[in-house]
Amino acid sequence: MSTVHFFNTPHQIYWGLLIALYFFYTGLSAGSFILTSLGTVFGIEKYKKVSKVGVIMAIILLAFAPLHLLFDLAQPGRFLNLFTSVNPTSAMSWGIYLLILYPVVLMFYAWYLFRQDMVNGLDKGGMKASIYKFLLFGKKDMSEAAKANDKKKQKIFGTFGVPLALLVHGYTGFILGNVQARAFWHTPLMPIIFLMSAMVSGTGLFIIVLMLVEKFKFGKLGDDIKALISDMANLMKWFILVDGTLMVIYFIVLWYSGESGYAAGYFLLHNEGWSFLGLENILGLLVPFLLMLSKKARKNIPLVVLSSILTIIGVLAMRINLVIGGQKLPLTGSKIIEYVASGRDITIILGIAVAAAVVLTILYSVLPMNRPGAEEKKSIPVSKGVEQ
Amino acid sequence: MTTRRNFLKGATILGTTMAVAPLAFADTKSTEIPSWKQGSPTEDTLDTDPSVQFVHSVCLGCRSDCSLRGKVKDGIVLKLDGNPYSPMTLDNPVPYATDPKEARKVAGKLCPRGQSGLQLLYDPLRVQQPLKRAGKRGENKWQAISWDQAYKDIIEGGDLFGEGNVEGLKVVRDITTPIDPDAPELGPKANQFVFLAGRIENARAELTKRFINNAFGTINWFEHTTVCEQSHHIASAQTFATKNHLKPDFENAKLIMNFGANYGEANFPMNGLSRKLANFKTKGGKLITVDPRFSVSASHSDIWVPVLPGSDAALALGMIQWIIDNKRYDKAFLEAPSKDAAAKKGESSWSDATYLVRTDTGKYLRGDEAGLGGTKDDYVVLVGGVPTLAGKVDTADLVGEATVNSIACKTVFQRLSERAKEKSLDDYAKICDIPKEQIIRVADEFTSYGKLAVADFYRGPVQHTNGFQAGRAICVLNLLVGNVDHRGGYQSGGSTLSYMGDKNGRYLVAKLHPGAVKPTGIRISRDQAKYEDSTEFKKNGYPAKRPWFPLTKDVYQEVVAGVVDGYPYPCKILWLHMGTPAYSIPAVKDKLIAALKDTKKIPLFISTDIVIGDTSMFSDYILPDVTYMEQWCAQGAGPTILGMVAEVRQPMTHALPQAKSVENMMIDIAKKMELSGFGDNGFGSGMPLNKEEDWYYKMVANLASQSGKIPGATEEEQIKYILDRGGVFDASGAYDGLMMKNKVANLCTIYAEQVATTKDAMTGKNFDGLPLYLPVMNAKDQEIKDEGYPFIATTYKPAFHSHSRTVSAPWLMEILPENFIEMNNEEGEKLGLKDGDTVRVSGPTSKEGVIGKLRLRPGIRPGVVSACVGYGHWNYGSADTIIDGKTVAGDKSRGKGVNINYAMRLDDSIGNVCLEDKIGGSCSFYDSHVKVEKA
Amino acid sequence: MGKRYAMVIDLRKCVGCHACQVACKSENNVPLGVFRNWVEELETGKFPNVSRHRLPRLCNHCENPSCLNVCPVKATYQLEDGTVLVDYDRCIGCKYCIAACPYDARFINPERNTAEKCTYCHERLEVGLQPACVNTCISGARVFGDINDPNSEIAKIIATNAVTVSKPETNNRPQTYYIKADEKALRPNLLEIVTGGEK
Ligand SMILES: Nc1nc2c(c(=O)[nH]1)N[C@H]1C(S)=C(S)[C@@H](COP(=O)(O)OP(=O)(O)OC[C@H]3O[C@@H](n4cnc5c(=O)[nH]c(N)nc54)[C@H](O)[C@@H]3O)O[C@H]1N2
Ligand SMILES: Nc1nc2c(c(=O)[nH]1)N[C@H]1C(S)=C(S)[C@@H](COP(=O)(O)OP(=O)(O)OC[C@H]3O[C@@H](n4cnc5c(=O)[nH]c(N)nc54)[C@H](O)[C@@H]3O)O[C@H]1N2
Ligand code: SF4
Ligand code: SF4
Ligand code: SF4
Ligand code: SF4
Ligand code: SF4
Ligand SMILES: [Mo]
Repeated sequence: MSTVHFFNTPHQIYWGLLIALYFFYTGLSAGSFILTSLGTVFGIEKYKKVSKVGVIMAIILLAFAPLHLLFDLAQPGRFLNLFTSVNPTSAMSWGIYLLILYPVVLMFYAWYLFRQDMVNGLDKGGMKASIYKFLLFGKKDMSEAAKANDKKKQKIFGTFGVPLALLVHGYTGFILGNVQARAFWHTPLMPIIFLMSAMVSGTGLFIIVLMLVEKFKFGKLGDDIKALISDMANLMKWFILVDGTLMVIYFIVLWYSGESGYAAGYFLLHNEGWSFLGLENILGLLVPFLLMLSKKARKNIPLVVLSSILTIIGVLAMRINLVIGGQKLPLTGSKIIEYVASGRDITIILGIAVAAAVVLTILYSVLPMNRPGAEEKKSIPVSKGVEQ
Repeated sequence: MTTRRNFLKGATILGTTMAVAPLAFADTKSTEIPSWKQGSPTEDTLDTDPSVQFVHSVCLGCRSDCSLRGKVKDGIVLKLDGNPYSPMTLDNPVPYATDPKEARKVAGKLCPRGQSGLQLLYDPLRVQQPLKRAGKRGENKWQAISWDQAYKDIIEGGDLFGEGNVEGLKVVRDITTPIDPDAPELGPKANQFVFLAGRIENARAELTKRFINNAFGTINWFEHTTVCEQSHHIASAQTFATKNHLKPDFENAKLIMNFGANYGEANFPMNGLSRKLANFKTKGGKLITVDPRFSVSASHSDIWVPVLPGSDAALALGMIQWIIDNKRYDKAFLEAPSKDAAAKKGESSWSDATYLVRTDTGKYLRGDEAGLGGTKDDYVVLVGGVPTLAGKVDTADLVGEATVNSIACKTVFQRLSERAKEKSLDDYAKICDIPKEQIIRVADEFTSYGKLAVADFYRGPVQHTNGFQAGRAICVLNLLVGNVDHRGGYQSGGSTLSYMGDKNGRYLVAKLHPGAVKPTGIRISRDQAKYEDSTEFKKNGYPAKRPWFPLTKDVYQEVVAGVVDGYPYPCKILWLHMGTPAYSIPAVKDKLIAALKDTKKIPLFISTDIVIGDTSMFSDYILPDVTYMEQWCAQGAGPTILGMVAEVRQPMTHALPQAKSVENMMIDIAKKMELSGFGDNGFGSGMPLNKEEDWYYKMVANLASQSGKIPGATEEEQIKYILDRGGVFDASGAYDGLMMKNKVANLCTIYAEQVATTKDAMTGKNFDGLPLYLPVMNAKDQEIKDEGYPFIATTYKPAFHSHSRTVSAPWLMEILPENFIEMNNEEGEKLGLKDGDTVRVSGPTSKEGVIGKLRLRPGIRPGVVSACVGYGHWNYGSADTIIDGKTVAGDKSRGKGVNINYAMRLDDSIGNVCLEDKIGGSCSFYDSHVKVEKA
Repeated sequence: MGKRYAMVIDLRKCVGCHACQVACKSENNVPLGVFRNWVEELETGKFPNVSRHRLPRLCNHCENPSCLNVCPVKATYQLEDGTVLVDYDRCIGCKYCIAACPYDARFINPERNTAEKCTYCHERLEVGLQPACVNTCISGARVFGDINDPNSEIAKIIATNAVTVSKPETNNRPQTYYIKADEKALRPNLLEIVTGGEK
């Protein structure tokens, strides 16, 4: 008994790296924000130190995320159509509004975070002062009442920000989860999996960014920050645990969810084995998890950095496996559909990454990053190392 | 950016590049046509758009010739559909009287190739101007020349290529001096001009014959049917009183036993027949398909009989044996010895089953020999053992032998049953490699539906060394159930009108040829002639150097082989028209190409083609012909289609200003050479033949006069009426009671007397007048075993390709970009081969063989490999071409896949030709043993 | 009840000739490499017990079209008669519909740069012509019409024959009805595909 297919009508994979990267960025943004909102929103004091770094990072990553989507459109010129109609049954449609609302809220939140330091920065004069002057829109009031108001507003916008962050990334989970045609994607776990992996990668990237900012801004990693980092490393461990558990559940359910599900599972294990097991789960989750189990390791900055990097790689792999892998299994015909990333896409991706890094560097160096326990030194030349 | 503008631009760009041919060849992407060919985002103009014009014509995507309708806007053909007036493209066509404006609301059906015709018409790699070779033959280096120069070179000859003097048409046209004074029967020197057509159709054929045979005066005008299905035609004609093509009446038949006819994928007409097949099946008809490959027909069948290639005769004889032993034949029909006797039984045809055949001469015993007072036109039968004149009785003995007038005789039926019993059912089963029970089962089924059972066949059984006899065995099956001319039986099809004006036409075109030459001599293919009449025979006796073909005609492969061997005489000028022997004939590719390159063997080689073809690329001149969408022709439909069809092909457009129909080329040349039958008084004084329309309008006028029902006061009006509808059609009136309206109505012969009394030039022995099974043999009747080559190579046609002609249609190529070498999956696995492997298929005379991708499937019987036609080109636009020093990049996608012909077997007993059927003249396509190895 | 267009493909008749596929290309100028309509065919069994199964595919003009549900800009819309169409001037080419269609029915037209699929030859229907593929179907396997009109040929065929659709388990309620379709042809054999035939 054998079956032969006489014709092989070509079908392409239309959602490639750009879409995977879009999901990746929104994840990083949401993750880092939720983490750093622990201070202002949930009042965990030590995290107040890092809310500023976090919110800037969240805003910029989110600002750059949709660019991937835009470049993926066959008709980029028409992206405005997205705003001129709402399709309640389309996750992508409501996502658009989240993509606007979320950064706006974060900006207010950030503004109240930075206001007082900007006022203080005014008398230092120079180029920065004039930037602050502009950004303050004249709100220079440093009365206790005003300061109290800042706190209040931080709390309000921050509190808004958290659910938005959840939604803004959760919805990307729905984009895939709602597609009943593909067993690969069609699971209620999809949005949560996206969120948890977002927390993992968000934490990972934040740890690294934080260290860079601290070094450049304050010349060294203060012990308080070191403590905080191992604290975050500890959180990361838990995030990984939950994320990993979800992945296991996802996989088990997939495996037992009928032929197409089983096939998808089999496909992940075998055909995509090295990237699904190797990159995504072992290197990206298991290894960092095991490392971060030990208190000593969590205190060991290089190890923490390593783990952070691994989680980022792992989650990136996960986005790619899901988005692209999910389209490799044919819906008709008889052949696995191959995907080859176009040079164009790769260039765009690198371009966006670099641009995001540059903008972050500029903002961090321009904005007053003073935090409880660390005063900015006078006039640090932008990006030119630190004099010890 | 609409299709229309896009496309018109394309067209005009092409138009302007026309002046400079080389540019027109520029890389396909650089003209607008490819972008149109790719398709463009806007929908096509609708049929209802009043600004579009419809041209009714005839498709030639393949020889099925379905009636065609082109949608034309601003001179551009936008879409092709079936002609709604024609029963060829619709089961219920619109009434013939319907106003064309009304008819445009309906469109007929076309197969994928028909739909793709546009891509052949607007192929950017078409030859757009006469080409003269600039390098050696086959180097694919060309120089674009004017028509005047082309004509001058071909007619006058001279030192055309700096390789010495070449005789032109003028010199070669000597219709008095014999080629060989010692062998005057060979005919005059003019015969050394050979015209070889591949595909050439009615009316076009007659015009070219008018030029070649009756104006120029060579006897060597050929077309290609022996590479096609000739043995089917000869076998049918030898059985059904010269009718060479019968088909089941699909509407009313209850069982069809299909021997290797490729219903649904190919056959005639592929389009209409597919529909008849579908209706036949949904109405509950029983289908049995005999084919080593699980064809589309087999997949729709109730029984698949996967015989070994070449064993159909054994299967049919086995069935005949069982049918006779079990008295399952139509006794009443077979016993009727004459027209009148048959008529009394409601039959229109009768058989020779009861006729006596002389044991000594192998002739029918005639009245005058029997001493029964009859004449030499009377046949003799036995009634209760007593010899009687066939005309005198209503029934006669089927079985019997007698010595009449001291002449030993047996009845045909007696001899048939003896023949069928020469082998046992087990032997037959072994030969076919099928279970004996299956032979019995199909024989039983076949004889369970009375006259509503039909045995049909096509290339599969007949393109073999034993093809004629296999075909005859199948024809005889039909006689045994007496289905001839019956509604639901085996029938000769619908009717047509004679465009040539024979039978009361307004213009007897053939006769309208003042000063016509009657060509004489032996054709270079030695067909329609007896070796025994030749000087060679008197000198050497048997065997002849090469086979002679007294019982068939136009032996395509032997024309070529004859030219290559210079036998029976050398060829000086070869004109190849719409043919590609190197591609289409099995086995000959390398030998043939070597010969075509040899300017000694063929001093002048001209081709008419629309592309630089796989064979025409070796010629000295390629003259750009027009495609079938720019052409004329007139003809009827194959017998599958009932009712009356007299369709006319007419140009829808002229895509390339410099391209010229072969008709117009010949008219020009004839006029320049001042040959008879062309020019201002070509048809007689005051009746010009200066352009193809002069010819075709006469044909259309003949259709009008013969139909007698065409409205219109003047000839012009009637011609217009017919052209507006693409011909004359009448779907009705196919039947007359329980019989077909169109009948064979004649003596149908189980015994082929003419065959039995004709000698084989290679052995001196008589051919056999009764169907028989023979193993694969070479021209010298030596059996070919080829041990060590375990597979038999076969081939077939997919629904989406026509021979060599459709690689230029991207819509068809994207269906299957590359074909496969197909093999039974279990057998392949035993050999350690995997689906998709690259394998080499080679044979005893083709060591390098062909290399292609392997497809393992359960639907190929063990011991057989098959590859569909259409692929495996080395040119046809796939090769880079140099024109006027500029290189034109070839379209590599046209070079994909394999043509299994190249791995097939040469008949090394005579060399340079494929295995062939000496009676029917067919090339053998399914007898070559090959081996398959990983490459 | 209003009009509801649908298509029946009678696989007892289909000969797998691909004329429907090519006619669509020609009528609608569909570029090379992308297909509104294509024909799948498989052969299965063990010699000499073999069968061949064909499955011409095209957009199912679903009752509940995934493509329409996911389109963020409502460029995909459905007419009263059930025809699902794409507004080529509105489509932003996000390809969500392509990812969401369970039948591979959609693609990006590389020349127009928008999503595209079978339109039931809408322009032809409007002037009373049959869809191009139905018109040319050489075996008469394809029948198109209004299934809500009991007198229509298609309604009669559906009433008198057992019909199946591809992937009924999707909530799409596809409207291409097959007569005598083979299970193996209606959906890809994913197990075989991922295991390379071992399972
Ligand atoms: N699609 C398409 N249709 C066409 C044409 C075309 O080029 N393409 N060409 C037209 C022309 S010119 C012709 S002549 C007709 C040909 O019409 P057919 O003869 O019906 O078509 P082929 O495919 O040549 O038929 C060969 C069949 O015989 C089978 N076969 C091989 N060896 C044997 C054998 O020993 N015994 C038996 N019983 N079967 C065997 C092959 O598997 C194949 O199915 O088709 C016409 N129609
Ligand atoms: N492997 C394999 N080989 C086969 C067959 C098969 O089934 N399988 N079938 C056999 C059959 S049935 C037949 S009938 C033969 C047909 O074989 P041929 O008659 O030799 O070849 P065709 O493929 O009809 O076309 C011949 C050539 O004519 C040229 N040409 C194309 N269009 C035009 C045109 O419009 N005008 C002019 N002047 N020239 C044109 C091209 O060079 C083309 O290659 O093939 C036979 N060969
Ligand atoms: S069968 Fe197809 S290609 Fe052949 S004549 Fe008819 S429509 Fe044209
Ligand atoms: S088949 Fe696909 S494209 Fe067509 S309507 Fe259904 S979901 Fe939409
Ligand atoms: S590609 Fe066009 S039609 Fe498809 S979902 Fe996006 S916008 Fe809608
Ligand atoms: S209905 Fe029209 S658009 Fe749809 S597949 Fe058929 S021909 Fe193509
Ligand atoms: S045109 Fe008709 S017969 Fe041919 S493949 Fe399409 S559906 Fe089948
Ligand atoms: Mo043929």
